[in-house]
Amino acid sequence: MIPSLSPATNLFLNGLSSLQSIINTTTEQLTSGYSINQPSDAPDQISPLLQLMANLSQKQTILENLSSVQATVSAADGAVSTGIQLLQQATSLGAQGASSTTTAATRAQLATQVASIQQQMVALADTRVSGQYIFGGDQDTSLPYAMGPPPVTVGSATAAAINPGDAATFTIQTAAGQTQFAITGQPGDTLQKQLAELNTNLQSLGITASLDPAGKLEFQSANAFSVSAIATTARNLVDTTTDLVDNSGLNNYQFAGQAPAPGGGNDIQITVGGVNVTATLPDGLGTADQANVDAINTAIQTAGITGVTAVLDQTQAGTISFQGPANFSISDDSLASGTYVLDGNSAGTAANGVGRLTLQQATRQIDLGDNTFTTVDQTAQDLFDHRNADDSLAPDNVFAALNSLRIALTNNDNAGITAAQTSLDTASRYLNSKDVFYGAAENRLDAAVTELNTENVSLQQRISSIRDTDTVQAAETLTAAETQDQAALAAEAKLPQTTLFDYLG
Amino acid sequence: MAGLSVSFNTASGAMDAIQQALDAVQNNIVNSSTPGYAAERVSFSAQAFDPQQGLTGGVDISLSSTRDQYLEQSVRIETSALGSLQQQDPLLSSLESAFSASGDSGVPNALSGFASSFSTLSLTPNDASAQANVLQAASTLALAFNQTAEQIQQVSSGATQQANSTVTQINSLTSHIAALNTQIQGGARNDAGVQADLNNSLDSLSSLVNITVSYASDGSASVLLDGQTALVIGQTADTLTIPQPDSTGVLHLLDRNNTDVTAQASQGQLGGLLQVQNQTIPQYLGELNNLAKTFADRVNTILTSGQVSAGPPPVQGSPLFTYTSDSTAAATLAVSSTITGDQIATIDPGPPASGNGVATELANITNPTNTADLIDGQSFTSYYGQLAGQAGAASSQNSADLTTQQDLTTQAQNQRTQASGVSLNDQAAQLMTLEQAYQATAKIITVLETISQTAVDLIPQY
Repeated sequence: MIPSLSPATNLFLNGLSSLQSIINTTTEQLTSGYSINQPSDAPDQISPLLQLMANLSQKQTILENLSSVQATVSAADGAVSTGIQLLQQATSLGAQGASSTTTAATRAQLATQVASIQQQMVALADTRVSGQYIFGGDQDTSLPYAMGPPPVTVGSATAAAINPGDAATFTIQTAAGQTQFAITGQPGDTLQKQLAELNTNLQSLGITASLDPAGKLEFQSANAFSVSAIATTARNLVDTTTDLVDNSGLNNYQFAGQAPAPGGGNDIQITVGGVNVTATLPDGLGTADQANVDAINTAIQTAGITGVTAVLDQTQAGTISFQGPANFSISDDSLASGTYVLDGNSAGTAANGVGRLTLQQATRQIDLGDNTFTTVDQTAQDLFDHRNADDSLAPDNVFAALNSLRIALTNNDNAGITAAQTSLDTASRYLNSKDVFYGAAENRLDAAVTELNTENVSLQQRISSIRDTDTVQAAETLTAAETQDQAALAAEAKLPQTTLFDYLG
Repeated sequence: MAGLSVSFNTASGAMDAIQQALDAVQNNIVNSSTPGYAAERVSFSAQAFDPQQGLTGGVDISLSSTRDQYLEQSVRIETSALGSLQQQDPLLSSLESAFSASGDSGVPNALSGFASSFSTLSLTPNDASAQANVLQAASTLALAFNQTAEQIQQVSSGATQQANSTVTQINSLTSHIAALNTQIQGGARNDAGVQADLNNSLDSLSSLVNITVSYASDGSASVLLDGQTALVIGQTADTLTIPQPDSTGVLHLLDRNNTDVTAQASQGQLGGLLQVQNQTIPQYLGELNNLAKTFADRVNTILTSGQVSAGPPPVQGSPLFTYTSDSTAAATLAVSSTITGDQIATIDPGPPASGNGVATELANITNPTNTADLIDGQSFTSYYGQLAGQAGAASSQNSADLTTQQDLTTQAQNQRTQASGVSLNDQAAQLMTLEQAYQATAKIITVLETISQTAVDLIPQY
């Protein structure tokens, strides 16, 4: 005897092992439903199988994306349609205002309605879907437009992130009072991150911070405000070279010059909506201070006026500014007097009556899943604030048309109303042409979704043909192997176990 | 009476010969299950018989082993091949299981998840949630690479431990063989038990490593590794050693002179272990590292060439992945500890510029149209699939080879058994024959005794 087991026994065990392997593999295929459970099951099929599954995953994600895009495009289409309806309402109001029988008071009322339409149009420009400004273009997390004046820029150089450990202190003055906070640089901070932190602090004040086209920090609000910023390092949000950057910040009228001189005429005459207010300031002050401001505001409030507020400019000592939506005139017995308008018709306020908060571009591409891409974004500027190449207002500018009508109605300007109606008509045709864009986009998306659904079914079939178990064949194989296994065991059991010794006497 | 005495002696000698033959048969039978035992063959030869010349005849007996050295070597060769395949089988199976066979788990699933996260980000590049999902998907992918590399490393560690254990067994066997040589040189050359022990030890050794065996004139066995390096010469056994793996993870087998004889250990369990540890695992790890490195580099290149913000001033994207070195890329792949979601570039500055161009390119990285997103002319997913298929093919081929080799080894053993094994039927038949011969010889002695008595009775009694 040479081996520990006889060769015949080894052959029998080898055969049993092979049969057991077949039974195990087939059982796994039947229980899992897959013919490929490990790479050795079909080595040459692994790479194509994985690629097909990656393709399917990609197509499914694109399909989900397109579903989301469809919702966005549908919302955009609806917003444009609403915009067209608003223009029609404005045109109707303009027609009423253009009538020779319409009084100035009626036109003033109509102007108020047009102002409401302006507000609604801005709201359309700021439409959000799933938290994204759908007309914000590539900057879909930033508010595209706001009513009121354009933003003001703070600082004289390009903004940059505050270095870790350094800080910039912002002092914000609004009609509600003064707010101060600091932005401290953290490791890994980016300018965008710090800008977001700044906006979080500004949110309750109704002020938005952003970067202007030159990269400078700018602030915008429908209401008056002032901002001063002091940086503790050379590199900060505000400036790169100076330690102190100031900005009058009052995007309304700034009361020029010094406060009432000591011993001089200390009365400020303010006229708002035909109501005269006289604020008597304390004598003997060389520069204005909060006491002056309080005295003025007390006088204004006592007169029942709510449209104007005086504030003390924090960065220009002794300077008082006035802010608010109402028109007012102001005179000082020691300074030149004049009439100032605090709304969009004033100097420094955009002629379209709205503030463009971001410089919008829509360059994003939507993957249609067939190696082609499409664009479905139109920016609020494309739609409602159309500009010429030099950034001047285009004749078909929706915001400008509405604003021109409102101003003409406010000013009781008959010729202006007629001209505004022409502008409204031009703007309406323009907006209608944009509506067509969304219709085409929806069609493209629908076709892509249909194509992707078909392709996904095809991919799933191809994956199934490679990976899934052929149940009938597997069952046959399992049955055959079990039969062979039983036969082998039975045959082995019946092998003669006797030798010649069993017959020796 | 002189003739009768001769006859008595002849019959007595014959009974002694038969007794020796019976001893041989008995020894064969009791060792019928002893590993390495080769049946002893009994040969009878007639002595010269010519009464005229005074040649009284009789029978001589000789014992010889049925062992066939050619068949022994044949079995050892097949056993070595079988040992290698048997050793590689679980290792290759473990290595295979490190790779996913479907896109539902492991690196392929993580690759798809990574691409999917960028596909979602391409819709809303400024969305913090989408950015966080990208970071999460990147972490998942890095972890998948880490785990795959770790699984392979675990197989490597197991192979290293087994290699050391195997070398210990080899050294133990060679010492034992040297001790048997000592007995053989001391006179036990024809001791069937010693020879059985020796050949069983050689069989065991051939299962561990590929050896060649030759016999010296004194009957001692000389054992060489692959016919080159001495393991046993006479009473001396040379030990093998395996130091810790080198910096690349490669194991080196050293002889007593610290000469690297790794290449000679090509078969047996040790050969299989060295094959897996020194060739298979480095190949898999190398390709996995290449995949991880190329992927990470490509993603980082795309992201850093893109922009987080178009500005002004434009803000460039940050690299997403880090790894320690090219040779450990898969094991050390990680998401950069300094990157935050808002530092993930999505903008392709162009021309033409695209606000989500970077994100869409990365969204298509598993099904690329850009040749720069390929590795060795195929997608990252296909490359992984090829690697997984390679591991599967190696495991599958080894299993098939193992089945074949088991049959080949069994056949060789069968041939050897037919030539040298103990057949109980043969032994029983011999036993019956010897019994009859013994009885017949005894009868002759009885007859001779009667004749002698008759002759004695002729003597007159006084």
